[in-house]
This record gives sequence, structure tokens and C-alpha cells, in this order.
Amino acid sequence: MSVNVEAPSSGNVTPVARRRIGYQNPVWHLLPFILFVIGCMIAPRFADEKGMTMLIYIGINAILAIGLNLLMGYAGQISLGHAAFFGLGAYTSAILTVRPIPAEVIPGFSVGLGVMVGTALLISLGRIAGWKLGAGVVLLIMLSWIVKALHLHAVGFYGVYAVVMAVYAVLVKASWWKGVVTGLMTVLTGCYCFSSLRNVLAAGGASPWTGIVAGIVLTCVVAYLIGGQVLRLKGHYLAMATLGFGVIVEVVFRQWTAVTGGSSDGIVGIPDIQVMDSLPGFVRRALEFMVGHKLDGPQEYFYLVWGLVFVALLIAVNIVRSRVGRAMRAVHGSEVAAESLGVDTERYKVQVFVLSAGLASVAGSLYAHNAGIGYINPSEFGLMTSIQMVVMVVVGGMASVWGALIGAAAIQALKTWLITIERTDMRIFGMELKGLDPIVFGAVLIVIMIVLPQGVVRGLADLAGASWRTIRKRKRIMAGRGS
Amino acid sequence: MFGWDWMSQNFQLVMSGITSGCVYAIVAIGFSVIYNSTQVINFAQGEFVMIGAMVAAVLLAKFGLLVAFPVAILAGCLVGLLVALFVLIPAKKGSVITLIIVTIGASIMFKGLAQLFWGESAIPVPAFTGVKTAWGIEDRTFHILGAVIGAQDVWVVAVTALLVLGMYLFFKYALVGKAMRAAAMNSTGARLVGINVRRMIVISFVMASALGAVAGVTVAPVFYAKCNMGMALGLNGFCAAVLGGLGNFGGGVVAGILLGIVEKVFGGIWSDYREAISFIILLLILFVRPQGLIARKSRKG
Repeated sequence: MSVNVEAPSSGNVTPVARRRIGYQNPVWHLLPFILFVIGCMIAPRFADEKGMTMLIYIGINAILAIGLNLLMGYAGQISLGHAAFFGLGAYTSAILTVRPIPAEVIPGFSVGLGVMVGTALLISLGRIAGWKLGAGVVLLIMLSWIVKALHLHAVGFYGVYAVVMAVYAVLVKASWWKGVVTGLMTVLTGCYCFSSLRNVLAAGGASPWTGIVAGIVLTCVVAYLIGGQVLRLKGHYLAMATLGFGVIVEVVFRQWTAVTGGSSDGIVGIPDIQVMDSLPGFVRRALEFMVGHKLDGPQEYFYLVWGLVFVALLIAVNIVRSRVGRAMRAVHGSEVAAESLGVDTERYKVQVFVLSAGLASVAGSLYAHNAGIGYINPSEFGLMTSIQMVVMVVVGGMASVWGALIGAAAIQALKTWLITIERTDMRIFGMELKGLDPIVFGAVLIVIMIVLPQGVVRGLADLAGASWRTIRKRKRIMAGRGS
Repeated sequence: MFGWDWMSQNFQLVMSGITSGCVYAIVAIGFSVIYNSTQVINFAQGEFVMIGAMVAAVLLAKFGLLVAFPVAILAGCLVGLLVALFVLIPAKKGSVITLIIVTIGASIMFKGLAQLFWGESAIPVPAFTGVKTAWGIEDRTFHILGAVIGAQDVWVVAVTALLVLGMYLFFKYALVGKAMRAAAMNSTGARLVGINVRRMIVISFVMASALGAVAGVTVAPVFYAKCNMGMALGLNGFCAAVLGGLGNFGGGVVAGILLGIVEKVFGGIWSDYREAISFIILLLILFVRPQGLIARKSRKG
């Protein structure tokens, strides 16, 4: 169904057309990256302890903003529930490293994971949606109950799942083998979680790296499941649906106290990531030689975070300039037109949604393992966080990969400034200045969307350019009149 | 198990569900009023209710109903005017994403301002027709079929019924109401016959926010006034509006009351995840039937 969306070849194109299709000399692509690396090498030398913490937070926010920008800026799909993915990453790696999952939850946990994988397979293999998908999910859950009630042995329940799902697949007019694969994968995932991972889940104390990877996998599966359904909606409906999803996940974080610790306790004592110790010796020595001193604590974490920002930037820049990126922009321009040209809009939207959720999950894990803090709480992954991500994207400029960095930095600076104001006990009209974030962020959203819809950097540059051109034009007119 | 106690418990839940359902219904009507004239979903709709509730919290105890209601309506109108003039109309040319972001910005700004003025905690509000006791003003209660119903619940239902009737008559018979419907159906055509479409946008915002403020005053004694009550009310109202079909008043009202009852009854069973229930319903509706359950005509999702 999908057709290659090829870039126009840049051979016999006029300069104007070149600019229009975004052709640039490769040097202009490398230059920002080189500047970025140099900046990362220099910045820690001039930052004190407070500055380092702030830089780390900016890095984490930048990963979030880059991911959301791909979705909002390029594909034109709004998400007001991205904090859910941020939180899923944070909680997965925090739970795996610290908080053992109670033994009585593990069977349900395994069944849940199995059903999730099965549903993902139903969507991707069977291309099933709507009530058929709903029926499939209900069937999978019912099968787990039946198997549990019958006390079947391994071979027995493989058989039950395979046969029932095959019948189901035939009934909804998919091929029978797709049902079989779905059923078998559901059982396998459930069994694997129950038997092999049980010890890990029950003991806790996994390595942070395992936590990060598990977070990415879980978040991507959830994003795939939710994205496939949500992204069929448009405009306001999409915004409300993602918002609702975000709230549901936050409520789960708050109320599922057996696993997440709830809102009063949160999760305490999440370990730092020992980046340097997990690197091979010669790499470590090379890094330390480049930086010029021994790396530890926040310094080490700074390089990890910004290294991942670098990776996220690389991914984003390459995707934007690839076939996928062009398809995404086509979807943004007009979904109907893109579809009629043969772009599989559904698939691209879901792909970019999953990618941005994965990036959010990485940021979440980094947030949870942040050196010296090691504490997370459901309130950090609520609606306000989702809106803050939107503010970062809007400030940095939609559809601008590098703008996301600026947005993240600006918002972090603003937040720090607001905290200092709140600490000074300043009073206006006798009111304590508390909780200024929503007011300021709301105002920023409104003003920027109305005045500089392209973001601060490009918007100001455009304004400056426009006024410069008017001045020149006016001068020319004046000169013409004079002569 | 399914004896008298069970019956009366559930009846109690249904009755309190109707009360909160009425609020959702009013918020849903607010969504529909704005959607009908601008094709915009106003994410700040819930905050209008919050503003009404805050006005009630400040005025009701001291000055009584006759002052609180007009002031709340005035405050609501003012806020609606501000949103329409300074937020919506400047951004009207932008894409849907722009409009969503802008109204969300307005929403969190109002929430933050309310938090600044009135603090984070819930403010108790006296009932309209309360009885003075040693502990302050307490609501009168009626006992019906084993359920306890406060006089305030009756007030909420009555005010909702009045508002719904008023809106129906307004859009059916008033000239402005007809003009608003015309502007919604075809804004170019409306402009051609001499309707000022921009004025219709402003009027619809003012109306929706005044509606929200009245609802806020009425429910404040039941729910208390809290600065963060707006978002949940707005989402539930949106859920009701979608259930009933956006732009369809009658559908919105029925769906709102149904939603309130379902939420309360399920909340009684599954109390930990009470707050998530309406969102789960919202997601399910959006996945299965984005045009609404009650709507007859299929609308574009």
C-alpha cells in the first residue's frame, strides 16, 4: 500500500526550489552537532554544583521535547498525555531496581503483560481494530481465567490458546495462523514473566540498565497499543483522548500502592547509574583523558544524559530528513492528500508516536536515577508535566529539532527562576506567591502561540528579517523619490 | 446480599450520581454552545465552573443567594469575554493544534490564578436553604426509599432543568440564538446575510462561561470550591458532550446524567480508581463511536 516518498533529486533544481525543498549543504548539518559536542565538553567546567543539576535537568527535558516535537511539530498530532510515558519509564526502572513486586501481584502482572503482547500482535498481524479488537482482548483475558481455573499443564494451555485464537481469527476473517501466533505469544510472554522473571520481579535490585531497557520495551508496547486506537482520532478528540490516557496512568501510579508505592510514599532510594564502572577500562581512560579529570557523581551523569540527548538528536535529525520524515510532514499538511498519494498515514503516525514514547521513557528512567535524588512520586507525572512538555515544544518552535533544546533550556531556567521567587517570600497585594508555574506557563503558551507561532528563535529571527527588509525597502523608496 | 440495604445504598449512589451528572450536563452544554458557533472545543470550560464556585465560596456565606448569583454570572461573563477577545479570536486563524494549546493555556492560567487568590485547599460553602445548627449551616435532608437527599441536590437538578430549558428556547426562538446557529452551520453564508460572526463567537463564549459560573455556584455547597476542580469537571463534561453527540443539547444532558450515575455506582464498587472511571468511559467511547451514542446523524470525528 505504501509508496516511496522520494526526495526530489537536487541536480537540476534552481536555488529557490532548493531552498523550498530544504536542500542544504551537508556541512550545515554537521556544524550544529560539532558545536553541540564542544558545548558539552566546555559546559561542565564553568558550572558549579547547582549549574550541573540544572544542566542535567535540561538534558532530560531536551530528550522529552525532541520526542514530543517529532510527534507534534512534524506529524502534527497533539499529545497531552506524554507524561504517562515519562512516568512509565521512570516507574519501570525504579521498580525493577528498588521495589520488589509483591508475590501475589506477579500472576496478574504476567497475565497482563501476556494480554498486552497478544493485543499488540492482534493489531499488527491481524490489522484488527474496533469491536473486533475488543472481542479479541476479552477473549484473551477470558482464556487466561479458564486456563487458571482448569489447572492445565503447559501443553494443555498452549493448545487451548492456539485453537481458540485460531477459531477467533477465522471468525473475524483473518487467516487462522495469525490467531495461533497471537495465542502462543500471549502464553509464552505470560509464562516467561511468571517463571523466569518471577525471581527478578520479586527480589528487585536489578541493574539500572536493565531497568532502562525494560522501561523502553514496556512503554513502546503500551504506546503501540494506545497509539493505534487514539491516533485514528483527529484534532480535539485526539487531544482529549491522550489527556484522558495520561490521567488514567497517573491514577494507576497513585492508587496501585502494592507496586508503585502510591502518592504518600513514592519510591525512595533509587540507585545512581554507575556509568564509568560499566564502561570498559580503555574507554573510561580515553573519556577521562578527553575531559581532563576524573569523572564522578553529577559529572558522570551529565555526560550520560547529554550523550543520550546527542543520540536522540541524531535519530530526530535523520528521521526528519528521511522518507518517514517526508511522509510525516505530508500527514501534517493534509492527511487526506497524503493518503491519496499512497502514504500509509496510520502506520507512520503510530510509528512516530511509539518513537516519541520511547524517548520519553528513556528520559523518565534518567529522571528516576538522577544522581543524589533517587526519589519519584506520582505527582511528577501528572497533567501539569504533560503541559510543560507542550510548552517546551511550543517555545522551542514546532517542527524544529534544535529548537527543542532551546525550549527545554528556557523552561528549566524559567522554573528555577520561579522557585527562587517563591522562596523569597515576596508578596504582591498581600498574597503569597505560591504555585506560579501554571500562571506563567499558561501565559507563555497563549502569547507564543499568538505572537510567535514558530517558536521563539525562528519567530524572532523572522521578525528581525522582516523589519530589516522593510527598512531597506523604505530606504530605497525614499532614495527613488529623492532623485 | 441483594436485600434492602443493597437497594438503598445503590439508590443513594444513583441519587448523588444525578447531582454530579447535572453538572456534567451543564458543562457539556457549554462545550456544545461554543462548538456550535466556532467549531472549537474550549478546554477552559471546566475552569468557568470553578470560577463560579469560588465566587460562591466568597459571597454566599456573607451576602446570600441574591448577591452571589448575579456576581457569579457577571464574573463568568467577564472571564468568557476575556478568553474570547484575547485568546480565541487572535488565534482563530491558526490550526486546530494552536486552538487547543491556546485554550489549555487559558485553562491552566485560570487555575493558577485561583490557586494564588484562594489557596490550594477546598473551601466549604453553605447550602442555599440550610438550617442553622450549632456546627454552622447544615443542609436540610429528605429521606426517600432509604436514601438521604439534601435540599441542595434538588436545587442542582432544578437549576439544571431551568438552564436546559432556557438554552433550548434561546436557540429556538431568540434572534441571536438563530443567528448563532446560522453562523455555526455556514459562517460565510451567515456573513453574507449580515450576521457578525465574530460577535457570535464572543456571545457564545460569554454564554458558555456564564452557564459554567451558574453551575459552579449551584454545586459549590455539594462539591466544595477547589482551585483544581475545573479540569476533572471539564473532562467529564466533554465525555458527556461526546456521548451525546457534540453540539446536541438534549443528548449532552441525558449523557451527562447517565455518566454521573455510572461513575458513582462504579465508584462505589471500585473506589480506588474512582477518578479514572470517566476517562476509561471516554476512551472507550472515542474508540468505538466517536460520533456519540445518542446522535442520530453521523458527524465527522
